[in-house]
Amino acid sequence: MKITPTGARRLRRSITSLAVVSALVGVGLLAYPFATDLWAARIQRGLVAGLAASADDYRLGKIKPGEALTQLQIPKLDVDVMVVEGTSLSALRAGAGHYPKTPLPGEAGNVAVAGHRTTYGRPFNRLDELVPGDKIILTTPLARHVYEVTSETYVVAPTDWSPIEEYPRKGSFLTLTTCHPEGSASQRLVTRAKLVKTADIIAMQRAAS
Amino acid sequence: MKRTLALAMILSIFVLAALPAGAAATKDATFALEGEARGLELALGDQGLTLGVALARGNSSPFAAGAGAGQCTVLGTNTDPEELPCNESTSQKSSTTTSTSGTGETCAAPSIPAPLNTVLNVDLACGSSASKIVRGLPTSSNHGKVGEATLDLDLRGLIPEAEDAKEQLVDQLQEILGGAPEPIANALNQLLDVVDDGQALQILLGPANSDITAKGNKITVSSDSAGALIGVAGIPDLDEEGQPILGTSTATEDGLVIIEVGRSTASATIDKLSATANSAATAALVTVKVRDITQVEPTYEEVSVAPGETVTILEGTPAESTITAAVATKEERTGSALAAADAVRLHLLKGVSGGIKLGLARATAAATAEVKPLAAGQKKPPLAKVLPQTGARNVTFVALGLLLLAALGLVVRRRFS
Repeated sequence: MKITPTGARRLRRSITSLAVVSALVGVGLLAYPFATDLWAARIQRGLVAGLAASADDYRLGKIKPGEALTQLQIPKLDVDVMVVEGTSLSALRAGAGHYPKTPLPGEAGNVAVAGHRTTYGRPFNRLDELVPGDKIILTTPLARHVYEVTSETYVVAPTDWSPIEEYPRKGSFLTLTTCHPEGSASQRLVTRAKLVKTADIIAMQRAAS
Repeated sequence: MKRTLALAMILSIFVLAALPAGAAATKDATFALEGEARGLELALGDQGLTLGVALARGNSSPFAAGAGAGQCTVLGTNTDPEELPCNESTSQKSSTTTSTSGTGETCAAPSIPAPLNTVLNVDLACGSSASKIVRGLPTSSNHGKVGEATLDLDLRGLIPEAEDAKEQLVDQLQEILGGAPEPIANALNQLLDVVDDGQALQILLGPANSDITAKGNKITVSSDSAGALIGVAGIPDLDEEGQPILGTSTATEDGLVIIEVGRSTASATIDKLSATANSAATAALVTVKVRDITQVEPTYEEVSVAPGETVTILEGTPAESTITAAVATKEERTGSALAAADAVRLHLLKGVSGGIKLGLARATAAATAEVKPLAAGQKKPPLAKVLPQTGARNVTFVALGLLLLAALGLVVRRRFS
């Protein structure tokens, strides 16, 4: 079929438009993870000051969703992130969030924290590298708690709440969760640890000065 | 045209690779497992102890714990690995909550409580225990064992009536000796004369084991007790003058009575996807061999004891003894399974202030699993509550595919210039 010059011009413009849109969307998708990292870094900078200022609220258990709850460090993985209260989509833009209704760091029971794996700073990107004996440190305005990993990381279904709800009767425990495998939300990766040491922050500061 | 086709093929590959893989739906049950094996339980008067103990515990927290011990006091129904009344120098405990786990074996000469230690000697006793979580599932390996155990016939320090009973036994044996060949009669006479120094009972005990293992979706607790070889009143060798040589008798090889107790096993398995459980158990078989003392060389008449059956020897004498063979039972219900191999029961010297009671080769295993059911009338929620989503889909391939599409478009566009 012969195409008229007018038809060819229109076809050329349509193809150009489609190519431009495809290129823009492609670039946008490639840039998305980096954009979320920048967004999370911006939130984290604000949270650092917020943690220090929240000592009274922390003591009274009045930390609001989205506010800084604790600093989480995993020396082996070079992770240092501020954890906010809550695990909603907006709260987790900070990178890591504390499961509501689970105990606070250092308390008896099972403290649970969810963290992003591939976006928003990806704090739990290498969670699968943790082995029993590795240390996880939670620092609140009141104390510094050291947890020790007790088991190999393992995978559960997204609807399996047993890592959060089931834990030994006695003791203080920590559970970290993230999505698995990388780039997918079809499963969850779980790490479990137990509290081995607690140090009072104010006492530590006095000793340092 | 060729470039266009090549770009189209590469684009197709990227699009296909970007399609998300189906997520396999999984359904896990909450579960709990317990296993226990006991090698030998001995009661003499109001004294008692247990030799060779292994315990294993696990549940879906995940949690695993266990204990392996060579020597413990009377256990009764106390089976908490953290609170076992066992000799610490012959035992190990492990737990994933306290991150304790044994390495190798812990062995020592057991400390037998007085006055039992005046008649009972036990060789080295050992225990080992290791528990850990592997891929989110509990595993535990626990073992308890002892070397040789011997019981002397001089029970006077323990049981006041023992002297009278021994004299009665000696008198009755003297009647039997009249029919024995001279070398045997001499040996037994000498044995009876020096019976206070003799080895009345020799026990060779196999190890007790209890383990939790996981394979795929199945978690199994298995317990077994390797049984024992018991020899009663070994007959010594004779010297050139026909006199018995002390210390040359081995009751388990040439004793008047030899009791063989086989291995008992019990296991229970959970399928954590379907929350189903099943179990299996085999009781230890018992064979009693009684020596024909009319023969010089050891010659035995064997009697197999059927499960649940009781055999009595030396009936009517203070040394009357009964052997009751074990029975294996198993029970399976929806979501739970129990397997038990009961102990072989020996009651020796019943006429002597209650005698000596032995329980051998006991093994149990139990498992439960549950998928939480909805209450009656409760509607199933439309969406399952999921753990927080903290991972975005990998869109790199889609992005690259779109960029390739754009490049393809520019190539095709030229044809209409």
